[in-house]
Amino acid sequence: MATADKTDATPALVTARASRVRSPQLSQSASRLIGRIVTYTLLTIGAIIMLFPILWMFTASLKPEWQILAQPPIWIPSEWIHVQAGDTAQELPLYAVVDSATGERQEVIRIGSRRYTTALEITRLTEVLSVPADELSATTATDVDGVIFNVRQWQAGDGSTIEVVALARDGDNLIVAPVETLRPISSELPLAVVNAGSRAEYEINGITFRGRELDDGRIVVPLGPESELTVVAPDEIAADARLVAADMIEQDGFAPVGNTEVQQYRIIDGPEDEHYVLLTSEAWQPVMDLETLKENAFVVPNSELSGDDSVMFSDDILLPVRTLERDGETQSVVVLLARSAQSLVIPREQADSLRLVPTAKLALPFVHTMDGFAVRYKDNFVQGGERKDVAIVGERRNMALITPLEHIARAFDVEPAALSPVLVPRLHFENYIDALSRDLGGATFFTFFLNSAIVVILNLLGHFLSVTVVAYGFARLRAPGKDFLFMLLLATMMLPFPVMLIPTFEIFQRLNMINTLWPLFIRSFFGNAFLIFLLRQFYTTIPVEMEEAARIDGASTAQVLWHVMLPLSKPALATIGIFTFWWSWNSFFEPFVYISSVKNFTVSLGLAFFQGQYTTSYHLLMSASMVAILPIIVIFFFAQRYFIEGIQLSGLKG
Amino acid sequence: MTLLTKRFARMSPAARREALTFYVCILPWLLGFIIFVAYPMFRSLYLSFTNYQIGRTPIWIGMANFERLVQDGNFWQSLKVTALYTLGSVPGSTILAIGIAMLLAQKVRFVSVWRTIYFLPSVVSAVAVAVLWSYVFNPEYGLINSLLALVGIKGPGWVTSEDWALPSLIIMSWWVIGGQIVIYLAGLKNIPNEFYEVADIDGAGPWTKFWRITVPMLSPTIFFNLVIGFIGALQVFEGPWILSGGRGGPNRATLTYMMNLYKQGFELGSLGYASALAWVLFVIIIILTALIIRSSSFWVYYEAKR
Repeated sequence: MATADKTDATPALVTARASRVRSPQLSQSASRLIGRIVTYTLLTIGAIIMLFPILWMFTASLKPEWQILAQPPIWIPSEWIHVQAGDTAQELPLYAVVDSATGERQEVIRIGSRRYTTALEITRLTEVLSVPADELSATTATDVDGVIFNVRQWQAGDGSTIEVVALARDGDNLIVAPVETLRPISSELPLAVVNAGSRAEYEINGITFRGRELDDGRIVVPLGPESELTVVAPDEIAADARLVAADMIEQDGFAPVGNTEVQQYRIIDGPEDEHYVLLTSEAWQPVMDLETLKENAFVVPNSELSGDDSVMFSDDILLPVRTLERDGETQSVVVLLARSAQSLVIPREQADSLRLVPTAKLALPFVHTMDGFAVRYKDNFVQGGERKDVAIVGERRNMALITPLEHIARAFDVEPAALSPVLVPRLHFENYIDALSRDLGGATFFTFFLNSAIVVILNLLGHFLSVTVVAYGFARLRAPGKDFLFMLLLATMMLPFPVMLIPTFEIFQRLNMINTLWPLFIRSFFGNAFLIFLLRQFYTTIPVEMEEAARIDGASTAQVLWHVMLPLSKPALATIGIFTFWWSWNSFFEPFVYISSVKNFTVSLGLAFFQGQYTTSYHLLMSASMVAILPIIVIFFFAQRYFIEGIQLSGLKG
Repeated sequence: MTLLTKRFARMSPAARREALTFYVCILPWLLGFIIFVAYPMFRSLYLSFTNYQIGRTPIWIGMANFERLVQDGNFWQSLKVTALYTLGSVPGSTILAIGIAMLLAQKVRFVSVWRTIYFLPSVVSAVAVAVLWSYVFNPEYGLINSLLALVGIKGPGWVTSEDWALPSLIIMSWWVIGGQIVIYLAGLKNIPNEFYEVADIDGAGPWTKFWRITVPMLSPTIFFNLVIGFIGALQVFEGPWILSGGRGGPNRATLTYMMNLYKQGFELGSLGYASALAWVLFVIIIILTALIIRSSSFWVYYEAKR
């Protein structure tokens, strides 16, 4: 045990053990043990704090976008299982819900929502009280045997406190009734059911209550609070979903399904007895494969087009099909984009890939220019497991996704909080491709990598050429003024750079080097104070005899440096190389000042720019950050010793 | 210079050759020093007395830049922000780093693994750290507020809140203490073990040992780290720049000195005024360093040179 090593090392305890004084030794070793536990606990907590953000960055980089925004957080990168709605391009999210009665877990889709309110059957109420409003407390929503009331506390004249519910206002007084008398004659009713009733009034003790008379003749007063439940149904009904224009359907009352009621719709001009449930209502957009469009679409003057404007590609896709007359031949074409004089068209037989897609899936499109037509397209659009670039054509249209009511055998309503997404763990590596291939104004991250690599390599070259020689001078050669110059060298290490910043900028401006990579590496050819100091310290540990032996053999200073000093200084040279890489890879302020055009950005600069552009696209930001830190992390893991030694040297020179 | 040439004249040919070789060897650094350190320092001192718009010629305006600076609300605000940041960041990270280094010095197992973990955040670029923490601090989806929400606490707005933005930056700086830990660990390893053994014999408790042995023996290292830490904190730029989207907000709550300097010099193009700001910062740093060095005789323990 480690404790034993420690106790053996202290003479005091050895004596204690020898003389067999039991109790103090026991208590001492017990306190040592506690000390160890505390040490490891604190270290572990600290390590978690250090690692957790990095781990969080890593997992976030592999999450889909919706998961970034999920609250409470979903820690493991996952895919949210969706079911395809019929043969449309819409996919409906799948939820899991646990039946509170049976404990059975079901997978469902949402088919609507329902608002409820607590309603009082006023005709069964016999007694009310009129109480000054200021004698009542504020309301608290309280569950009384399954029904929720807005309960207030009232201090009655005899000093007792009664829980009451306010029913109406009467001047400065509130008309209340004790909650226990209300509970048997109240229930939670769907708000839609209550609001569908006709207005009715009812009088008790000369006070008029406004309520609603329901279809069954009951008169109810809605008391609140209102609650919203989500109506769900088994996911297999999604298979029957179909798309119709949103203005083609109308509401047609409520229908009981399972243990709930859903809003039912019918198709205008459709059969009276066919009813549907609305799954989604949103804008849809015609799209077609970008490749097909690039290969087959062409621009024609509108004068060459004839035929009826009202012939459409299909009932849903409202793209005009016209006749093109050219060189005596006619062909049927679909008009993809139309302007006053010209249209972008595609032959009818090439237009099979036209389909409707929810507009929400086409956010942030790119633009492809074709004979003066700006064709917007969405890259990497996923459908049916395939990724394609799709061109956005024609006009968007509000469409309703509906499913036949008779196919919904079972539906029920649940608290929204009881629904949880159905997830399958999956690492979204495509985030990396997405982040790295984003066009950031003429360049992508690959360009930034290339620039950083150039800067790092030239800095390495510069430092190896200059530092090795300068350090040799300071380590080995005697000359007047050397001590002063060495002090100067040490002093520059502490010098704050802002004081040199503007004239240095001026120098590079005069050399026409602004907005090039030159300012980022040229100074390394003049050495670096810290690295010179570091290598000089190492050189002084090399025995002079080795050098003298070479000198006797007639070696010049350059030969001594090359054949004796450098081969013996490999660890220090590694440290210099690593520090150079570290600094120039991570450097931000200088590239920030000197470089303005995106194509010359380094990785750090690019990352900051990326963050400015995609502030909350954290999945992409974290992917980009991961890639930006990867090179230095890899080097750190393999060459940790040199980092640590270099840092220690910097700390011990004081 | 004449002294130097005189000494040269008195030297033997071999010594003269050696001296010449020395100067040839250090020539790159000497040139670099003159062009990129000495000249810029004097030049920026000169520029601080001029009106120098980017791309124009500097015009001598005497003390006008400094008079403007005294009346500049941004200057005082940035000075306040930087002072508060420094006062939060440096002592906090010093205490944390010493604490962790002392834990690691307890002959724990796998020291190198622990050290790797604690050093990891310091390897990463300041930009990546800030980008990561912009997410960690996000009021709705961030790591901190998500964890707080799990235990039923509604976290503050962090970088989006005027009151919490600067504390957020300070907290972020406490995460990047790997370098300091390594230095303190090396400093602790240099304390001879006999000191503690003798103290054990005398029956000293851990508290006494800490204040009577560890702190005095570590004080030169602490001193050095404080100086470096203060100089670094006074020039903080990347973190506040990225977390505030380059604005120093909300409501200038994270407008640090360097951010103000950058904005004046490179966004508004007043290089003369920015030079004046740079020199004021330089003087502040010199005064502060001098104060720490002066005070060091009271609390820094130097072993008698053997």
